[in-house]
Amino acid sequence: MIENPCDLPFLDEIFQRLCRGRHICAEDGNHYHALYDNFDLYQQLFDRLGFRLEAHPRDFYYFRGEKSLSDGSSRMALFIFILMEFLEGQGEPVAESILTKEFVIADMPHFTTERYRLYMKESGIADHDGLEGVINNLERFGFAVRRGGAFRFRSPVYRFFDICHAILQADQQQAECEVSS
Amino acid sequence: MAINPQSFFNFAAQNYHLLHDIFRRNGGMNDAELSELIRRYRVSLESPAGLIEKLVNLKIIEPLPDATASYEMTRTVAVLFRFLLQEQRLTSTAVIQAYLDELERAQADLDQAIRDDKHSLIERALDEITETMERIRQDSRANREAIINEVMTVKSNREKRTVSERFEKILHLWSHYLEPLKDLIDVRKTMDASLDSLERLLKQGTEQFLLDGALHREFIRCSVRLVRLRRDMTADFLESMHEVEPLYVSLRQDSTLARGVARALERIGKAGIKSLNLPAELAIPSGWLREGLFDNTDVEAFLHNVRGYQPQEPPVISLGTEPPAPRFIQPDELIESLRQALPIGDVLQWLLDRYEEYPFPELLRAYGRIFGSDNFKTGFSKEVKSYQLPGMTVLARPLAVEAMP
Repeated sequence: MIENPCDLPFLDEIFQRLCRGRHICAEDGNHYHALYDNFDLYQQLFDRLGFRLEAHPRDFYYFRGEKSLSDGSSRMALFIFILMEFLEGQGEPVAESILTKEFVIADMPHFTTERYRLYMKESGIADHDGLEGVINNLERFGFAVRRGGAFRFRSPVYRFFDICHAILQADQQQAECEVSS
Repeated sequence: MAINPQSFFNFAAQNYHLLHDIFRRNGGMNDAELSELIRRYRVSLESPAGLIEKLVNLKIIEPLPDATASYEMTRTVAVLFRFLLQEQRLTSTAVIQAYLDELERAQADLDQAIRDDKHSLIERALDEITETMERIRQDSRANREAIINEVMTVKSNREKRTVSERFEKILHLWSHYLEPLKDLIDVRKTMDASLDSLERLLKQGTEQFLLDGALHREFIRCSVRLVRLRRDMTADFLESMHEVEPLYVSLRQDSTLARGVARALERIGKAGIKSLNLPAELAIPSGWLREGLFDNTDVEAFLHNVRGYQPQEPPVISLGTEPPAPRFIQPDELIESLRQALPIGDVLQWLLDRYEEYPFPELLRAYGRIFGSDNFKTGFSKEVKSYQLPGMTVLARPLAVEAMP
């Protein structure tokens, strides 16, 4: 039983990582297990310090920021949305592919069609180097792991799936409101 | 003209590849195409025209109703092929419902025949019931095979169909075939009630015609078929669900994701990426906090400098030579002083004497506090008194205060 919050295992490393926006999942080994075993204590301690620790139903942890938020979120989301749409068009199982496949960066579809190029331009990514930057960000925040010229997603990518669900739900609610009015 | 079954099967065995190819041509074929097929597969020197005639005579093909010199495989042979190739087609709910209606009608006939004790009518009703039950059983099994085939096609996705298209297909399968099949075996639904009532009727017949060997055997045979029908239908349903459900769940999830992504990209295209407010939605800390923090080495260095530090007297801030005039009389202190001085014949004079350095408005506030206090007994004198103050004269009836009795 841990009584002093300062005795929480890997407290400083975990705090540093979460502060930087990192998502901690089972792949992170000790850090994940420390959070899994002592979630309430960590949450209470961080709450006192003014940080909101969240546990996602898909079994990973992250800080929900309030004031200083990463502006790379939009680019990361757009990157994943385009990849998901591309996979869907190819007849691939979307969620399964995102969660299990290893993707070669050079084969990414983000500049293959005019529409995708426009989306990328809109978010300020002009070329392949920009794409690399987004993938680096995905790795930095714990959404993906890079291996040479390829990468694969980690379970925290579910946060982008949640966004898709939320957008769809909001649209449906709006449509229902319009019908009822 | 009746067909000799042996000739039929001999011909089919010799010309299997030709028959299989004809079976695959769903839309039928004209004379030239059929002749070409025959030349490709023929095993004897017989002319294409002669072989076409044989195919027609054995009722393997028949002319298309909407074109001359064009043929298609007869439905009977096509059904046989589907059965042999495990490519059964799905039976619609309407067909199954028709079977159920037929079963109920035959059951009513059987009931009446038992009441009338008419053996020939009983036999006929039992035949009809058996026939209908077997059809339901075969169709249920065919549905199971067809559902599995469909699931395999959707899973393998050789045609590279999108998630939405595949989900539509599975959804159709789910709502048009699985749900009705579930209704058939659901104990709360009419089908089950109808089969229960048939079971009771067959049991009654078995007991009633115990001494009529042939009829008794027919009743028992029919009862056993009913048990098998129920068992097989449940197994078919469970097996179908087992195949479809995981795919249904996974495609439903993918379909939702795909629709969500499509909406998101549509909005980005129309209103820009900022319209989705993604930084706030994801709320990922930017990590700037780390820049504001310092590590242990910095803290140690700072403390090292602090060690041995001698604090000095703080500098005195001069407020001038005259002490500031008091501005406020503490209520507790006022009441306590008054209590010690009781009884007092003139409160205002007492205040002027005791707190002479205080401004007059503060003395009036204290006067009001004393007058309003519940701690003392107060009373005004009848005569007016004049009080001389710096720059003013106050006229008032003196307020006397004494302790509460």
